[in-house]
Amino acid sequence: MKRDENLILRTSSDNFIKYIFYIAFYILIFICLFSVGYYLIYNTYVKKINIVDQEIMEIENFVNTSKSKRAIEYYSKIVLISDIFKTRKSLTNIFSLIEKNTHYDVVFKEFEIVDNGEVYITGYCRTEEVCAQALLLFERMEESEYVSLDSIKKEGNTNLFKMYIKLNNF
Amino acid sequence: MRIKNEKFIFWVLFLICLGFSFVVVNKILLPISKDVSLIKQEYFNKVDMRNKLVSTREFVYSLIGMYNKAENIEEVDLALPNYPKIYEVIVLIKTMAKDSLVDVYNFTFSDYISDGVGVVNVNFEVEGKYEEVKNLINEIGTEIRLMDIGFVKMEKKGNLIKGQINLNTYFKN
Repeated sequence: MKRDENLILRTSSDNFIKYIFYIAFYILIFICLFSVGYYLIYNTYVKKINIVDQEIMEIENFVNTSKSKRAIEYYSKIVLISDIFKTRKSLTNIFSLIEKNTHYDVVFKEFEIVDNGEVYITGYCRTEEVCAQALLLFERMEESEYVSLDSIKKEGNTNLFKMYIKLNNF
Repeated sequence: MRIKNEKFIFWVLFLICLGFSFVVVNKILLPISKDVSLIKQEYFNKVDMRNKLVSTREFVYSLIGMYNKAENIEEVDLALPNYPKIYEVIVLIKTMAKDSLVDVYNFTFSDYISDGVGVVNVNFEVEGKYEEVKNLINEIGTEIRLMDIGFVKMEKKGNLIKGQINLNTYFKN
């Protein structure tokens, strides 16, 4: 009976080391399979990247053809022109605006227009009252933002005035 | 004795498996998993880039279509040349002045780049009747070569107006 017990003990100890070995072996197999899987995935991505690179090259070659370049150049010019038009200011309207609102008894000596809507006028008016009326006319313009009369100087029979007008929407 | 030997062999095999697993994990599995995540990222970046380029290609196709259909496309070059072409500016102003019956002289030029656009700043003096000078200014505004007047200064000299005009004309940088 004692002999049998020893046999059982020995057999279970042998099995234990076998099980441990099998587990280690399966883990190794599992790790190897995982590595192979990763390697295959890596290769798949390499192939995919090659395909995408080729597509990118084809598109770049197409964009770099002379016809495409010419079309792109014209497009960029049109964009620039439209940008320039957005900030463009027409001074020709100022002429008609000032002409329309100038007092009939006032004569301009100097006239300066700047593209930010500033107008500097030096002119002659018969009397100070006429100057005041001229100023009032400019002030009443819808387009005027600010109007100032800088000076009125007597010059013989007439008066020399200096005026500043700031037009809005410029 | 035979059983003892078998046990020993299993122990050795177990240790070999363990050591080999350790080597495979450290030398193959971990580096390749890192590489896979990097290449995956690279692939997605390239796909993004390709998609953007595909939309660019579509856009260029449509541009070529427009370009082929467009009439008087060369007028774009006249409006915005590739370099300052100052000689063209002088000829244009002189021609407009002649048509408007005014005299233009004393030209000065300077060019610079502003917001990616080349700008030629032109200053010149003008002499003529008020209506004629005004006409010249109107003509400048409608010229196909883009020209914007910066400022106009006029002074009455007898029956005539003597003035100074500053304008900007553009070119593609």
